[in-house]
Amino acid sequence: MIYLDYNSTTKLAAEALAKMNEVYQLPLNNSSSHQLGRKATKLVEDARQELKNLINAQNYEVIFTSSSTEATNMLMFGADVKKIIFCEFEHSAVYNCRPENKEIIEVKALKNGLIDIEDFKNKIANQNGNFLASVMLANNETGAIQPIEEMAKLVHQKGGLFHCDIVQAVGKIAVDLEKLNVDFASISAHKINGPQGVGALLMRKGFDIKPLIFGGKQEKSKRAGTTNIAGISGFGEACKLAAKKISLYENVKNLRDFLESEITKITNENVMIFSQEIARLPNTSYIATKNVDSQTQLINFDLNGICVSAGPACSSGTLTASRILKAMGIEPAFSTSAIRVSLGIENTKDEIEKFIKVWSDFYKKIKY
Amino acid sequence: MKLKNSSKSGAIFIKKLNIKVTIKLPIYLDYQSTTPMDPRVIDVMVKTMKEDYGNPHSRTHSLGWKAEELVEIARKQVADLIGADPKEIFFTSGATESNNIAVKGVAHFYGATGKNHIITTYTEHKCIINSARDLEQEGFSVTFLPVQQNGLVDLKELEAAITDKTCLVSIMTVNNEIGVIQPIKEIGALCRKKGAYFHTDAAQAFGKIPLNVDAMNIDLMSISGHKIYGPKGVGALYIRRKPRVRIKSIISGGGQERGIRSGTLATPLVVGLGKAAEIAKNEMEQDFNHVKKLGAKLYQGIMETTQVFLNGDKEHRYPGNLNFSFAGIEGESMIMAIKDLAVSSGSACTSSSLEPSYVLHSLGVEDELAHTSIRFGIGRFTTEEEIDYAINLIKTKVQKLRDLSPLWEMMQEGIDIKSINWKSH
Repeated sequence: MIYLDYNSTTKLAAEALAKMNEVYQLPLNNSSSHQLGRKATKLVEDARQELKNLINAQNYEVIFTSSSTEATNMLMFGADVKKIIFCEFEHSAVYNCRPENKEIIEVKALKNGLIDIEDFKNKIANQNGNFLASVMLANNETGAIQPIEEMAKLVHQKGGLFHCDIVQAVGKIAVDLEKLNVDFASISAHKINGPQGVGALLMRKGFDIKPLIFGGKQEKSKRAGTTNIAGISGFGEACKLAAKKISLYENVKNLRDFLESEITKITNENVMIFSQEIARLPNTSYIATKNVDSQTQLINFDLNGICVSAGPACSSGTLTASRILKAMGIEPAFSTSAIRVSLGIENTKDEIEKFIKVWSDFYKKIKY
Repeated sequence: MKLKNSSKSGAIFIKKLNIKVTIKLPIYLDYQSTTPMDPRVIDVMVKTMKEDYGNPHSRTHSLGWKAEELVEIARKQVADLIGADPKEIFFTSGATESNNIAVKGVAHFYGATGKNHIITTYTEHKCIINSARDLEQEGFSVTFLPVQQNGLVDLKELEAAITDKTCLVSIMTVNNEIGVIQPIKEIGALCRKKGAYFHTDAAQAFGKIPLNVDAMNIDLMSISGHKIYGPKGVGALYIRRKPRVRIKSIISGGGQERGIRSGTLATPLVVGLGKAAEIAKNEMEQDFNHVKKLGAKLYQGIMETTQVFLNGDKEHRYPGNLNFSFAGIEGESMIMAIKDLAVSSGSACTSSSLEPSYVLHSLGVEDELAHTSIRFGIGRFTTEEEIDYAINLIKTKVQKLRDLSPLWEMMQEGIDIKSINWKSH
């Protein structure tokens, strides 16, 4: 089996698993005051520091959550603002989270996968504080990297808050919160070889939001519920490893570029590779084959032992066009026929060659 | 950091057998705070993490299908333990989240239809109380019912409190601090009769005592993984389908868990919860008898000391939770003196703060006694030797602390402590 769906989830790193297994051996609750409670607290604080180190977030509070979706919801419901501005291509954790007491303003996307910065400027031009802007660093489907620094500056000039969903970018490219100059960021552990069920909201020190989940005083009273010590420890290990692995994405990029060049050699007119001309994640290739619906392609790949997806996992299984491609203004002949190939550092050239062979054999059967 | 090797150990002499047994310290007696994981649960989780790492929402390849299949097996395992349909089980990150969804979700959905009153009690877990307080700030009407001195809800008072505006009654099954079991079936029947939905926080009951959502008239139930030898970071919410209870979700996004709770499901955690539920179902009788036997032993042993009080009803309780107040000593010094026992004063969520327990306060326990209360939690892996060791240690230390205590001396002389006008510093 060839796994090419790393943007959906990743395999837990052996080191993270070992750490979690160690934690599983003891009944640890960091809210307890006895010695096991203190041990638990140290594990959680160590992980918090590893996360801060990975994304240069020394001046941020880390609030551990059960997922990045929860982190995003916590911010969007809990931030004391009247308006929320986000781009149409945001992950559904942002896109579908529409608090009733807040006005939602959507910003257009360009055909190349970038945010329409002029539209963004127009939408914030008349704002005067009291708003939150949320734009993802790298898109989960196209991999397109957005000009966060520039936008954060614009937002701050207008007295707004800026949130960046860094879920897909972390681990694949260097992410530096200080440099991005964002006020909030959300992250997921299972996208960087950490465990599923753990995420975090990063909040610049001095800021405050209302909790989403009420109860005990865990996470400085920002997120109640017994802390998932093992999961968080595994996340910390994954952060430590991720910092070391970034350089390996050079090779991932070479493999991805090889894959794309081989496919465009086969046909140039019937395929469309999105966001190819702009800065994007080194591992992501979003390829549409004209008039061949995504599902048909996916079934063929699966029969040949290759795991890929059509857009995000959360909405896969539906036959409609990708919301993100629609937002980019891609015509239906391509927006309903895209598959997302996302590589990991574990992939080999042989695997990519197999993918190309399967793709090519399939393509030859299509009658245009 | 080495976690496994605890260098400290204690010894206990068993007269009957004339042998000395070595015991690893500290002895874990804090099973209401969290439980050690069952090795069988760890095994299936590790296997899942290594082999079945797909995203259960990836409907497009075999790894995703395998993960989804595992999630559905776990859903059935959880449902089977409470007599529910798997379609009525929604996975969450834990009982706290489940409680938040139940209370706020029902209130927000039915509040919009004019039913804007909810009822709960003063002895609920903080997450219910704080969710209810938040609703109050939003303009909902909330009734906090007092409990009787034994910790149980007065059914007549409950009945009187339910109005045609009441959308939800939330009362926990087993109390986390004092272990009393509420008359769930009767409460459920009352709610049904009066047209209010009934939610119960069963974090301390699920997997430990028999529960059946139909027989007990339960409409929503919160479930925790790490209280039943499963992993932390996972729980579930039971939501009745017939008649269907509607809720407004608190986390939106990809629409996972049929829109009730968005976010990628953590397959290994869900698998761990399922396995823990399966084991709990198969071994409930055995676990219960074990806990009951050791609980009775601990109770008798501790009650040999004078001026010790068990908090909460003596009959209607889960035997693995014993909360005692020791007169004439101070809670924190007691915890220090018996630090070879990992125990809690109050619930874990509040034990890092020194305020007296609001649960004991609601029972009418005086502040002096509330301050000296300690909860002993017994579970699947507690041994008889550990209980013997604990009794011996507690008896010795209580005596020692009392010998040093001027309060105790005054109490012995018949002075009413409350009558003393303390000079403040």
